[in-house]
Amino acid sequence: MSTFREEYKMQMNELCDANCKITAEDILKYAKEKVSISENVIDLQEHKKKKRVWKAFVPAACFLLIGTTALAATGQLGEMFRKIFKDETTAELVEQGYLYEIHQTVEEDIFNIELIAVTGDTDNPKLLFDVYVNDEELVARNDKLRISAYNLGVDAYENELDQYVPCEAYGVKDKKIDNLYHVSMPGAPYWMSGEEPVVTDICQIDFDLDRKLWTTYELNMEYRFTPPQDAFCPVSYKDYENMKFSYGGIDYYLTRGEYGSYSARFLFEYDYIGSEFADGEIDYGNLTEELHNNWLAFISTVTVVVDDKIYTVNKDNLEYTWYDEKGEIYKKNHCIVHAHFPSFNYEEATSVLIQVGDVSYTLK
Amino acid sequence: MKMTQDLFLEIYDKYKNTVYSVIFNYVKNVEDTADLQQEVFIKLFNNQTEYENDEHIKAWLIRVSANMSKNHLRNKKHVSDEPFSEDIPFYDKKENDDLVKEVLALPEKYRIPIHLFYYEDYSIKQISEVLETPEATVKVRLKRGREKLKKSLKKEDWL
Repeated sequence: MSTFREEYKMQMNELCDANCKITAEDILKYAKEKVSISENVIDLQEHKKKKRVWKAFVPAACFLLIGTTALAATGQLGEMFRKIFKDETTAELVEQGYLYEIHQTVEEDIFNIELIAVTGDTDNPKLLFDVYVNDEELVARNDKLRISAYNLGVDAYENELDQYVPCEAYGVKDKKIDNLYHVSMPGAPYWMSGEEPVVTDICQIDFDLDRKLWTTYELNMEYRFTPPQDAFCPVSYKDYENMKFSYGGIDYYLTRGEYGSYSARFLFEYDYIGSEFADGEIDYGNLTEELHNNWLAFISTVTVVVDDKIYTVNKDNLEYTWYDEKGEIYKKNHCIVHAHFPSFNYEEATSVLIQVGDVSYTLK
Repeated sequence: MKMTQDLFLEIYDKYKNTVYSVIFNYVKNVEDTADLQQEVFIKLFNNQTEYENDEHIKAWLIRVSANMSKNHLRNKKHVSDEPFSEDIPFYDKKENDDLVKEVLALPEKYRIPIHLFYYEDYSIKQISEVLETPEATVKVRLKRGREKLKKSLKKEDWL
């Protein structure tokens, strides 16, 4: 009989061999490419702050095709969300007039990108871009691209950028115009719905996502605008007290309900140091998996009853955000977890209940 | 010894699984692991450090893999509203991957020392050095990790 050590090594080696596909030669080529690009960047810095990490050959004869699909009409934008992004909720919000058209265009490298508009609800703002790629080879072999962008308030963008990670979204190729990709990107609600100036900075675009080495462009394409409050459908927020659900040795307190167009989100708070899992451990990071499993088991038993219609949690969209000691919500060893339920119209509902087993509370 | 192309090719073949498995133990995701593995080896190639021997390079690779993985996870946590998947896994599981799965299910503080001890044959002292953690802490984490594994594997005398 083999030992644990032998068996574990064998299984881990099998896993590595099965998944580690890139060769030393590939990495060497990439490493050299990076060195030579870094050298080029130094030369280029005086002219333009830009670096290209890994780039396919760009033909000298680039082509430019822009401005043929100005989608100013609200109806067209709504249809765009419905047909291209399969996003019925946003399509309806656009058609209800929750929209702020921007139409700012920025050009850099092989890209010409128009920020068309922002829409959504106050918790889920969306930015709509048209991305024109002026490189026939890239366009020919890519039905999609990935775009990364910061979306921040001006002060955070100018002074604290290193504390944030850009948001990502995928571009969908237009059916008629070869080099056009449509992108619907989530925005940052904190800044977008504050009626203050915000900056959106497209910092990276990736192609060839199904290949071993992606083709990556690092960019700095800035858009500045101030969305008005009525660009976004308002979300109803309700705070709750003394609504306790005990499960698996943890007391979960419902503290807030956020009733938006995309989902009804419930926030629960619990004391993780006081839980049986903690066993003297005070570092939250070391308890993540046990706490997460209990949370999942708990939230699966929660039902929300709206005018006799029963809703259960959407497990594909569970948020498990925790805050470090600097986080404004994190307090005294408490942890806040979130669960999305299907959206319903809280304002128009006659009765709303939340229940776990025999325990239920009236929310409206 | 300094890094050359030939040495790099030799080191890659020798330690690619070392790097891959350490990163995978942190991030538990094949796509992120592949990206980070590339970054670690690119860093190695471009690093001007004078290495004493192969073991020195291996320790460097493990430390950099651990640090880059932790940075990666830390950055992920700061993405607002990052969804947390219900399933932890992470790769196309095969029939005989049970041990890997059980090790991956351990909390990180136990998982990494266990991996280095059993996969890399590292001593407590070596684990302590590479993870920059006191030997006593490593000893306790190995012991607790083993106890948890015994329970989950239902094999009391195997470890």
